[in-house]
Amino acid sequence: MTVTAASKTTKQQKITKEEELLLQDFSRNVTFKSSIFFYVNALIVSTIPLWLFWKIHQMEPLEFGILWVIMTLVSTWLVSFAYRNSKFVLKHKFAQKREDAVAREVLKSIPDDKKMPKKEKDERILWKKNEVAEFESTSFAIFYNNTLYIFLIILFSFYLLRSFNPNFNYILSVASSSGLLALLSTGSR
Amino acid sequence: SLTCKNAAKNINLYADINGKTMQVTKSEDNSKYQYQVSFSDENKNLPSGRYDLKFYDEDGYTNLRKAQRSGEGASSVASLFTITVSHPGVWKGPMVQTEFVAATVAILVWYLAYTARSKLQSS
Repeated sequence: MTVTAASKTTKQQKITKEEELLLQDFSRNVTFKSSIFFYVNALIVSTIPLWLFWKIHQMEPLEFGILWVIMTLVSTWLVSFAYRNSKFVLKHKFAQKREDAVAREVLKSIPDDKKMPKKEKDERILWKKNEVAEFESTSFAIFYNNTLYIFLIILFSFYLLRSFNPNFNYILSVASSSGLLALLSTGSR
Repeated sequence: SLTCKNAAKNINLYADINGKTMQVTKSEDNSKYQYQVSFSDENKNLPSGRYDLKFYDEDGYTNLRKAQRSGEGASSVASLFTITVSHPGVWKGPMVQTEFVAATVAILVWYLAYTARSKLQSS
C-alpha cells in the first residue's frame, strides 16, 4: 500500500498529524518505549524456564551459566521479534473493533460549548484510536506469544526431548520453541 | 512389654510371620528392647494391610513344626501371643504425572488465547 504522505513530503509540505499517525499505523516499526517493553517481557519469559531446567533436569547454574546467558539472549530476540509481528497484525483489528467506542468517548469528553472543527475532532478520535489499539494489541501479542512459548517449552523439554542429555535438551528446546514462535508470527493471519 | 505368669525370663521365642517362621533375636545389652524380630520382602509381596505376628515359646514352636510337617497348618497350634502390625503400604508415585498437569494447563491457556485471537481476526 502506497502511503500518500510520502509524496507530500517530496513536495516539502508539512506532514499533518493525521498522516503521521497513518504512517505509524502502517509501519512495522515500534516506538522506543514499546521496544523496551517487548524486550523486557521477552527476557522475563525466556528466563523463567531456566528454573525448570535447573531444578528438574538438574543443570547446575555454575556449570551451564554461559550457555544459559547465550540461549536466553537468542530467545529474547526471537520472542520479541514474534511480539512485534503479532502486534502489527492485531493492531488494525483492534482499531476497527474499538472505533465506535473510542469515537463516542472522545466526542463525550469535548465540552458542548467549545466549538471544534470536524477535522480536529477526527484527528483526536484517530489519535485516541491509535493509542488504544496500540496498547491492546501490544498486551494481547505478549499474552498470546507467552502462552505459546511456555507450552512449546514444556512440550519439547519434557516430552519430545526427554531422553536427551540436558545440554542438548536445553539448547534444542529453547531454540525450537522461540524459533517456531518467530516463524508462526510471520504468518499473515 | 510382656510378663509371664510363671515369671519365666530369657526364654527363646519364635515368630510366625506371613507363613515364615524365624527365631526372635535376644539381646541382653538392650534393656528396653530385649527381643527383636524383623521381616522384609518385595513391595508387591507385602500389600498394605494388617499382619498378625504369632509368637511361640519352645514347646509351641516344636508343635508348630510338627503340624507343618504333617500338613495340618499353623492355625491348629495356639500361639503364646499375637502382635498385629498395620502396614499402610508404599507410595507408588503420583496418580497423574506433574508434567502432564503442567502441559495440560499450558495448552488450555494457549487454546483460550487462540480462540480469542481467531474471533478477533475473523470479525
